[in-house]
Amino acid sequence: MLMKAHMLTAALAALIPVVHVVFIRVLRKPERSVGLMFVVFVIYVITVTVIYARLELGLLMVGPMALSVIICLVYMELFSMLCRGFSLAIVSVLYDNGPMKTEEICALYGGGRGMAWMIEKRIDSIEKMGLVRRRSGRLRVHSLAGVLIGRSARFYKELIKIGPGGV
Amino acid sequence: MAAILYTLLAMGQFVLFFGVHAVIWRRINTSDPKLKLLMIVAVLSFVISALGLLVVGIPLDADMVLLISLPVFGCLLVFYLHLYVGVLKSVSLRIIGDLILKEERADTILAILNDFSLEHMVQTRLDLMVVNGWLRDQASSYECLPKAKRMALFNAFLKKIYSLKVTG
Repeated sequence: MLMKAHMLTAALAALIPVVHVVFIRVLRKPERSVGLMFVVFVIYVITVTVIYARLELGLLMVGPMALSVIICLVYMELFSMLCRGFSLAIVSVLYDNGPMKTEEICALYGGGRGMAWMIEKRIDSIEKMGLVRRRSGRLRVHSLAGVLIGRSARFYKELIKIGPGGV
Repeated sequence: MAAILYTLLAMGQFVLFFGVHAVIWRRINTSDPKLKLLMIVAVLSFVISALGLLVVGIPLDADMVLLISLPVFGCLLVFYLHLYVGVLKSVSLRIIGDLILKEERADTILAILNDFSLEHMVQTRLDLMVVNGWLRDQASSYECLPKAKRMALFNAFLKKIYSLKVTG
């Protein structure tokens, strides 16, 4: 029964990208693609949970449930790579424009918007999340969540000695 | 009850993995992700801890290890990988982390842009892709090799499917 639950969990996962694409195209909201991805995850997890309940797995559902979470996390990572992947974007610039030098790649990054645009885009994201606030050309860590996230990230980088990050 | 025990086993295995990983990474002191090494540490932590329990006489049900402990361990590992790669590569986290250290936890946008050395960021990735056989470096001019061309085509296809116009 437990094996059947795992197999159903894996089989249903094939529908995640399909439903995600359908949502984006039907609602015509590509800018909301990340939000829609989480909606799809919620639908997927509810569906598999109903299946586990029907299979009367009880606490054993923790195994297949963990598998469903793995699937969502892997999909999230792949989609994030597509939307914001730095190396992938560099490869696309080179493929679209032919051989070029580093400074030319920087200038053509993000459809010709340049590298500074990429940093601005990241700043916009953390501002929208309420972690920082931009005022008169200055950026300030705005909230307790921002302070906690910043301190935790620094502590973690110190703990496993991985340098400043972000490169 | 068995589900709880095998979930706890997976959590213990993850703690072992994290401990070994932290000790090794503190010794090698690198900003390179070293994902292959991380995966080897994860697999060895899982397998050796399970075998260790069998050796000391604690009976384990192989089916439960595979169908409960393994996915729970995998779930914790994938969560951790998100955190690890996120902290290592995330520009957003780097910005917040740097701002925390500044006076009044603030800085000008221009100074933030200068801190990053944008060309260095691109150069780091280019060097890595040359080493991994994705790009060819000819007199500091970079060109896609077949593997990169296939990836660029697949990327363009996915962007079209998902209706994503500008990425990166």
